[in-house]
Amino acid sequence: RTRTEREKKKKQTKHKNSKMSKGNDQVYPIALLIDELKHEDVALRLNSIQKLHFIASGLGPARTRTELIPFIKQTCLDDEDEVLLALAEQLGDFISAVGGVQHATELLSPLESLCMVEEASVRDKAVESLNKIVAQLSGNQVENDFMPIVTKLSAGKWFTARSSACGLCAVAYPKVGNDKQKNLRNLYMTLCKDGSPMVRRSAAKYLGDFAQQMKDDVVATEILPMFNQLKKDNQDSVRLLALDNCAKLGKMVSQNDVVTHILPTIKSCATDKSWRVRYMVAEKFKELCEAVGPTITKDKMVAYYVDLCKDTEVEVRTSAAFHVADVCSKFTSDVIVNNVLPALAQLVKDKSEHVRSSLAKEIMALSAQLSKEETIQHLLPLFLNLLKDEYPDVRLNIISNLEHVNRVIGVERLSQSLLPAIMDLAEDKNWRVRRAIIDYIPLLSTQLGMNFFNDKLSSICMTWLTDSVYLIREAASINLCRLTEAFGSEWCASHLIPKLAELNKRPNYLYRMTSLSAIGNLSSELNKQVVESHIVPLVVQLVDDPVPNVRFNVAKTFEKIIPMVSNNVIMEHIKPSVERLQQDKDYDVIHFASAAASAIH
Amino acid sequence: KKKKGKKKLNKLKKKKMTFFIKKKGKQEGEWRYQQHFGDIHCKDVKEEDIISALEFDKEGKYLAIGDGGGRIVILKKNPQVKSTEFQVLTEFQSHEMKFDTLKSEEIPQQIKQIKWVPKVNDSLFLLTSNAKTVKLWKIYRKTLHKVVTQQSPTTGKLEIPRLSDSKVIMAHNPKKEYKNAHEFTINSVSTNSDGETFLSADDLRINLWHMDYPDAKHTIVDIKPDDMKNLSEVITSATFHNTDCNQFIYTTTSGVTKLCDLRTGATCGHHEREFSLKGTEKGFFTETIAAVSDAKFSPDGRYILSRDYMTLKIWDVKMEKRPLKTFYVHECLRAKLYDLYENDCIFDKFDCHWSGDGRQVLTGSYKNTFNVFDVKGKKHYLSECARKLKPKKEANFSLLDYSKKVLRTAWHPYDQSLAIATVNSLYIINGNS
Repeated sequence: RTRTEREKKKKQTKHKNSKMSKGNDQVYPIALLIDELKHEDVALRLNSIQKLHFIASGLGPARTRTELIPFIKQTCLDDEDEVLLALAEQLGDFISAVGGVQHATELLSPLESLCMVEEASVRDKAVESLNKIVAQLSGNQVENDFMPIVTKLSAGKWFTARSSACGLCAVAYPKVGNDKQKNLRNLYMTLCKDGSPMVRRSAAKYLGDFAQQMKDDVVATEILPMFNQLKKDNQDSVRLLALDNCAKLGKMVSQNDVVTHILPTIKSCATDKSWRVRYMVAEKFKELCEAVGPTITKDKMVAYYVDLCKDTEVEVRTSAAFHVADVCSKFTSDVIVNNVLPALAQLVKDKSEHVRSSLAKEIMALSAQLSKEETIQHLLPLFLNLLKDEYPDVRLNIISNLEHVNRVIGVERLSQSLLPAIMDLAEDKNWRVRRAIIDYIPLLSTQLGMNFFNDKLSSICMTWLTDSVYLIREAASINLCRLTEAFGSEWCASHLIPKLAELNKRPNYLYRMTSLSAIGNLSSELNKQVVESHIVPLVVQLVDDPVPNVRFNVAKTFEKIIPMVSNNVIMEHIKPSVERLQQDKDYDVIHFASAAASAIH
Repeated sequence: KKKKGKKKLNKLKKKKMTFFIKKKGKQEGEWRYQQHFGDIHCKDVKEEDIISALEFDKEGKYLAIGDGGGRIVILKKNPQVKSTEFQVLTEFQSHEMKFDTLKSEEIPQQIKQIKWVPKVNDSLFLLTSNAKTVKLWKIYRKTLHKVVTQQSPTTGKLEIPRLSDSKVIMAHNPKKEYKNAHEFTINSVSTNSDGETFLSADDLRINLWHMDYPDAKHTIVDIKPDDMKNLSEVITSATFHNTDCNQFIYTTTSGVTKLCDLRTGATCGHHEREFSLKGTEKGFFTETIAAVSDAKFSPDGRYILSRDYMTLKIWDVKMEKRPLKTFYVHECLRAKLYDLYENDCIFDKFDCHWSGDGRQVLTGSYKNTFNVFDVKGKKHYLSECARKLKPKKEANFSLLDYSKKVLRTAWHPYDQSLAIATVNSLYIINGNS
């Protein structure tokens, strides 16, 4: 159902009701919402549920507890998923509506029911809301009211209830007594061994959070067995999640436990038969290094990472390449040079362009971790190779990240290789590639310097102005503007204006329009003197253009530059031209000319 | 215009399926007739009444039937009767006839496959598929409430509406739609043991889906050649392993069953094992009848059952060169292949099933006949579906019998109980024990 329809319907009902309830202005919108809680239209029910706060404020805490909550429990829990999702969210912030924390336990039961629905997003939201509420409850409330719910859910008939239970243990744990804590741990162990992979996945997902609530020695004796249980699961999707826990648990347990429990898991995952598991290792590698600490990272993890770079599966190598900068921030520079860079040298020649392209994106950032000499000696050859890649994305990624290198060694060393690469991309037959390279030109030019630009790049910038694709021409004119911003008005007057003047004489009117749009853009960056002496004559040149589109663009450009020039220039040059345009035969030209004329006054 | 009118008429005609439940006393032999659904005497069978999919749920409490009219009928096991007997629980329209405006062709509503999704609560969930779209349905008992009191506009006091439970109905609700992913005709859907993914296979590609994300699919197998002229084989079916979440098999018209492992790579270009018999016999129709139409893992996952036109084969998952056993379903047809080619029957796709204990296998044939083989190869039971089963030694068909195909069958997951679809009606056959 579209929104307009919904609104229309709402209006109709509003209209109907407003006739009946005159004088009850405050009560009536709430009454309407209450009625619509059971409306047959889902959109209206959803609207009512989303405004449950409003309803509760009308009823007051006491009636909310005794009437609204039971009503919801009785009738609203078998609704459509979107309504349930809204309800689960609302109930999480409902403590004040039922009259404060002492009554908050009223909310537990409807949320418990929502923890059992089949739609995962609703269950997750209900778990989230329960966590919010329970965090505010007192220890007594948790023991007497919340614990039975967790126990009941964890023994539920269907996996939905049991998997929700996994997410509720952590919040209850610190609020209950020792024996109840032991119960919770036992209960969690049972969930880790559940028959349904869905429950085991959920247990694996929340294990880290659960462990964080415990004392370190308990983690070692009680959580590690759970962890060991999950990491040898026969379902890939469960093992995947064990890695997350490696990262979290590693920080909590002693170095000994890391060596005996965490490290073997990382090792087995890094060599797992399933590419998905290895992919996750590559994705989480930085966190894993943090978890095991610097010594083990140097001794063991480096080798795992190098293996991932040589993986047989493209996706794994792509991920390894993509995280190279992150991961190397955990390695020392000699390790990077001796171990990682040889592996990267292979990736530079990888047969998948996705691998090379994600490597190109990240490899530049490595220079920050190496000295200037190391960068020049080891990294530079890799950059140069990637700059010659046959796949445009790879080259683009290198060029777009030049700033990293600039900080360490300056771009000059690259300039010899950069230029052919830029030229190639500038003429790529895919216009999106051309567009992308244009965006980097201002940055490149400032890094390479004005002279380099004038010598090598200015001509392609001008070629773009005559590109066959409009978007490129437009980007080119904006590009000129940004260059002027960088190099100043004088440079613009001496280098750009003459070239624009040439464009003005081109027979194709589209080029003349491009020139005008460039002029319009440029004028805001230039100082008054340059505008008066160079820009105005250029525009005036085109007043008598045979094509009306050019003429009304002239009028538009006048309107733009009028505020920037002094009065006598306006009177002398612009005003006569504008007046002439106002006499034009074309309506559009007259329209824009009058707009310009009013700008003069 | 005429066609449009006809369509409308068809829509109006979409009357409820009628079912006859008839019971019969004890019979001699290994199997006995229990009941049947549908009109068995109907002479002129309409396309939309032909049963095209059949599936027991994992607990064996329900049986779903899909037909050419895009309808799904759910049967429920009658708990009051000792033997396996079913009654109609609900029926609904799953797919409608659609028109693909880009290719300007009709997408028929015919149900290609039904798969039960493991239960998550008291509701039932099933995936149904026509040629292009897979849908996830929820079937549940819905309590219809009636609002008794309304706000009284004059008092200005807020009233919570009071409701009365009026009645409970079986409702069905399309939860998700997995669409726009298949260029070709879907032939099978299979759920994974991880409980969250399923695959759908069309003629040239197999897609993997996550049940919760209908917008994204991942193509795990793609055998489409760059140039369609080089097309040498077409996928006929695909199914996941019962317990191992990363293994699946697919079958092709070139007579092979391929076992793939999802762990080896993001796309399964290479297969782990390829089960096929090569170069044993030569003949004009050899290639055609070698096309595998269906394959299933045994309940313990160690064997694969495959069905080609003439035979049923059992393979050891670890041995790909030759089958452990070959069962000849209807050898009498070998002399008549030319006739079968003429009337297109040679392209019929029969399915095959394991018994719940993995000791017997089931497949269909012509003349409303079903075949049950003992895995060890000692016994072969074949009989025509009828009120009184008459076991035969060997099949024998006349030209008229070819229209009475038993393409769809199913074996109850626990009981000695078969569901046999004979064109437009369904027989429940139980074991005599």
